Amino acid sequence: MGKLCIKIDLDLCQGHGVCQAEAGEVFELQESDAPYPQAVVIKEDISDEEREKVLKAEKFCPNAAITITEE
Amino acid sequence: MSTQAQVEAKAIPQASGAAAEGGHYMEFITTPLDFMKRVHEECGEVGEFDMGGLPTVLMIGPEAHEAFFRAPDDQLSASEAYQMMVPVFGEGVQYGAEPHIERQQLKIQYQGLKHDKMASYAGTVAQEVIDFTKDWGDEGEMDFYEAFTDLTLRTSTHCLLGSVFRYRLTDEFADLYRDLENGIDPSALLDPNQQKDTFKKRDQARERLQELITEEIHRRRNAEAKGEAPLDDMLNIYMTAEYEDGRKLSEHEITGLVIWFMFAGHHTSSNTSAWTLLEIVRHPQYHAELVGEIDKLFDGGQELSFNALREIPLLEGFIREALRLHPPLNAISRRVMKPFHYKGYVIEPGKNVMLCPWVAHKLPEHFPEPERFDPKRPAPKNVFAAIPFGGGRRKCVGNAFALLQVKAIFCELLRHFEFELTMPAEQYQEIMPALILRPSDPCTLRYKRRKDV
Repeated sequence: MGKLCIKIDLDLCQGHGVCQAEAGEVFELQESDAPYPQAVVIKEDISDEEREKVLKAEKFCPNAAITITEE
Repeated sequence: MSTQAQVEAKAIPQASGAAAEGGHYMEFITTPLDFMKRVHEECGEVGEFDMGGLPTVLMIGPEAHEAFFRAPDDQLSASEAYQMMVPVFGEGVQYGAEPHIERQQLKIQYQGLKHDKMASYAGTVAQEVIDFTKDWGDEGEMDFYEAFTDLTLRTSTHCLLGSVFRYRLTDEFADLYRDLENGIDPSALLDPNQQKDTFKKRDQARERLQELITEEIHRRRNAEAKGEAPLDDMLNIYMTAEYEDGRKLSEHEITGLVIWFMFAGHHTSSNTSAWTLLEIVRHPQYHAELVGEIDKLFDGGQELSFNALREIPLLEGFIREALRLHPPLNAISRRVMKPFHYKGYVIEPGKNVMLCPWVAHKLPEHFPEPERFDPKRPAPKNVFAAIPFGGGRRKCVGNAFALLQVKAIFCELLRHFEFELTMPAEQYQEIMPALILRPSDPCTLRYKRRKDV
């Protein structure tokens, strides 16, 4: 399995927090210029254990703000 | 506009058929969806029409939507375009507030939609459905547009504003809320303050709501003064919130925030529920699979949970298709504040730009066989192709709540009842009397309590 590359589109993220609930080791809501906190990737190297959680975060993000590609 | 832009700008295609007086206004308010479809057919992705003296540019398609939603507020302004909402929410609230105040108000609203709050809502909705249907008996007929309007007012109020608010403000609250809704009439687009019965009722309803909410605030303050613990609901959040300068929200502002929150949580849910049920009944070939999917959720006798509601793909497909073919809001607008460039066109300040999901959701390149209702249709590749909740930073922040609410309603309903049409399928039509697409009257269906559960 290749390395996962995670991108968050901040024009789409509205801080629903599903990603943080799924994979709090990888995503964190932080205060932003928007009226709501926005998700930030706090860990780049994703372990095998975290992989499934990160993919769930992408799948269940209500705003489809997360894009994950495999390098 | 720069000289260079003047040379390079392409002429925006113009819609035909403008009347000498009022341009396309009458056609827009009489048959808005057919009109916007015609503008798109004539002009393509970008087309201009005359909304009673306000030049309005209709933009259709994911690329145009993306440009629209990614533009900053100081270029495309929502508040300037939605001034008709100011008498409903009140001066100084949302579109009637300065941008920095509106931003702080949105931050307060967000407290009710945080993930931990959302996770607790599924059970509340399920309980409301059980209460709502307990006197239905084994079978009967009902107008389901009306029924879902009542039910979603209960579920939205209960989830978003708490049980005390929900049970204290019942019938009168619903009537006042309806008067406010009726005040969002197409003529409000041009002048929301003209002398008109519906606008007078709207203003009286808002005043009365403020009285009711103020009474509740005073009751709570008195109770807290006597040592009672504050309630854990949105009204308490509004009562304790402060702006960045330390100022607390006034009773006028709190009333506005309550109305704003309820409007956001109610329209999409009640209309989407009605359309979803109609489409479920119109497509009996999926019935067994759909009911099987839902029954499985309750197999172990467990209650509905937030996570379980995420894994019901066929029901979700029905809801998404209902939102695709019958999107509730179809005139998503912004006022151009700085020149807006798109594919060689320059849309000048003072004009409106508008998106129409009902037209855009039928583009065959993104939705093959667009008129066919297909609950197993794959999601479009482009995230800006389906826009029932808008998009970008101003997307309806309650979109996840709306989906959760509708899913929870249908899990409980289909777990206990079966439904059928009472009229030929083609008699259930789309109408759009108050800028919101809804099923025609009557929207009667027959229900029967399931014998197999």
